[in-house]
Amino acid sequence: MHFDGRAVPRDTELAADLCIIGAGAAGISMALELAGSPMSVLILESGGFDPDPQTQALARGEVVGLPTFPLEISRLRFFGGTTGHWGGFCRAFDPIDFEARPWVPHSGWPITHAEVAQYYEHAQELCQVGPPDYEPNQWDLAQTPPLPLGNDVRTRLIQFSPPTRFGVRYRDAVVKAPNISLYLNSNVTSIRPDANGKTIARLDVATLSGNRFTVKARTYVLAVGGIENARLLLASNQVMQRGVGNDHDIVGRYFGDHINLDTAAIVPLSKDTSFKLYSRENRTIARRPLRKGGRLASVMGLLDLDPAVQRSEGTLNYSAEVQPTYFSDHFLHSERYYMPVQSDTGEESRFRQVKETLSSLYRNLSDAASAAFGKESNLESYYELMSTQEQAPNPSSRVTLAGNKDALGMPMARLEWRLGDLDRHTLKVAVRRIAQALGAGNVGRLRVTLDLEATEWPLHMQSSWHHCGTTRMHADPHQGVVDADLRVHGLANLYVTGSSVFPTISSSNPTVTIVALSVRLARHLKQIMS
Amino acid sequence: MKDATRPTTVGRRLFLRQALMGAAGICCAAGALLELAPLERDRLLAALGLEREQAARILDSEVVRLEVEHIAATWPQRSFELAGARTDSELRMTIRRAIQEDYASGNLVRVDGWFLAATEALILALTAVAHS
Repeated sequence: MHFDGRAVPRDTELAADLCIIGAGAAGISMALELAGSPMSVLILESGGFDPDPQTQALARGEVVGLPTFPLEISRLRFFGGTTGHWGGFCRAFDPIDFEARPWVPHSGWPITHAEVAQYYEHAQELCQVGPPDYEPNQWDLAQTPPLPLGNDVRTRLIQFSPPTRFGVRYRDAVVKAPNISLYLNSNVTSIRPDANGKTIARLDVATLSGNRFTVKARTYVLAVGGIENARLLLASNQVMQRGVGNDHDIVGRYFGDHINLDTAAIVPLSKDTSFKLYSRENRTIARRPLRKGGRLASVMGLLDLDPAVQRSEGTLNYSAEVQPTYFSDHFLHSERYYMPVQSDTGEESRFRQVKETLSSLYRNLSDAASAAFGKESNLESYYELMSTQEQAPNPSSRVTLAGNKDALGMPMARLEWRLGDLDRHTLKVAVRRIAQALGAGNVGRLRVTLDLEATEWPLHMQSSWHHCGTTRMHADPHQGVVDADLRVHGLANLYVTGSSVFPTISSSNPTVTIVALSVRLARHLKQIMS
Repeated sequence: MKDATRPTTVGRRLFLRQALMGAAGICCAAGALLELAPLERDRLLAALGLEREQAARILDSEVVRLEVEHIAATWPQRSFELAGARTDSELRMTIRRAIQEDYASGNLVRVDGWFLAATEALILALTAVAHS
């Protein structure tokens, strides 16, 4: 069943066994798992079945620190949540992502990779992709072979979901479940603990039409994304002054996102070298898995820094796409990269100088390659190396409350994204290792298109709309907001799910891990609540 | 045994001449040449057909500016090898082997953004010197 929160009689108190706040990938995955169970489930969703500008405006916030996308653009507030503009990238986190890595401060999950891995296959099914097979030798890639790069930089695959719009795909399954009540246009404005601060007593809900009601449940799950999970906990400060679950000032800290950076140009030594496996343009090609009974799927190759290299070099996890482009574009890109430093009247001549230098080096490189290898280089095209790397857990990278309020009177979120030395170190090592692998494999040469030694990150660096870490999981309440079961430390009946619970964020896209953790939580709650 | 005091036949090629001239310049810049025994140093310079003053002048070029110490640490032995190359095919094999060794061992340098084998970086820088 589904209801419109605007039509609920004012000051009504709705009741359920379990209340899930948010109907995005996390909330819907939980609902699907709980559909048909004996417990009554009530879902509160901010938006309707379709997006609308007024509701979306509730996601507005301040962005300080490193530039990132406006908050109301990177998240979606309607049934299905941010899967409404998801790109469909599916890959599970690696075992090393779960480890406490001595060279990565604050790393280590309180659960093992194996504990999450058992949910990945189901999570991928929900994302409409096959089993979590990411190794090239698990697929028939005869037409698009991986590059011969050795062991330090290895090719691994990412699988593509159609992508699944959870709100469309699973609407009927949620709405028709006899034990699930979905309330649309219903915004939680406060999580209210009881007087002793040990349990959550109720939720305050508001609509943009001015309606108000409350929800009382045995158990609550917060699943509104990496920004809003923190914002709602911090804003719920009527009983606990620092906010709910924030006794140790961890809520909102450790905000992380994948660092997305157009990093380098790869010049192939031979025009016979195929980069097709790595091209987004070719991801629509269906590849056949070697697993018996496996179904055709769209996959794409990424260049990963091998865990052994991560350990020996003390880096974070790192992946890169290799996308084709053309030599003429190189100059266009060069202008873009050098643009920020052009400020005087000598701009044009300096541009020309840069172009001439690049052109000269390119020609010389081709000459050298010809001399060395006795065959013509591929002068027609080159490839862009696009980094997607893990961000180090950083307590000063955080979500707090802004001074401004939204249309419901809630303080807006204030995002201060910060990166550190380890992030920079990882990029430098990864680029050098990839250059070395390309050279050793006689594949090509690499030219960095940014200043690796600069103290500032380049202006063209982008976040990836993957808001993580703000309610991180840790066994110690002083270092995390939720425990290994995703229960908020110190509160008996409040859980959090989604990317905000990631203690570290891997270099893989977060969606299947969000879904896996949410399914895991649903099964846990089913067990303990029955 | 090769006589390193005589100009090489391969040196007739402009490409190699440029490479060797720059090699001398870079070696001097990094002081690596000074670490050679006097006899070795003189033999190298003679092989390159240069006086030390000439090599130093090459350094006036702004182009030879990056990672010279790293390159020089690799180069003296390779300079002798290149200078001793008698044929184009021998030169090609020497360069090829040197580059592969560099990549395998991670002996890379960065020249204006390029991550290159030290041997390649040297050749590039030298070509630029000749044109500057």
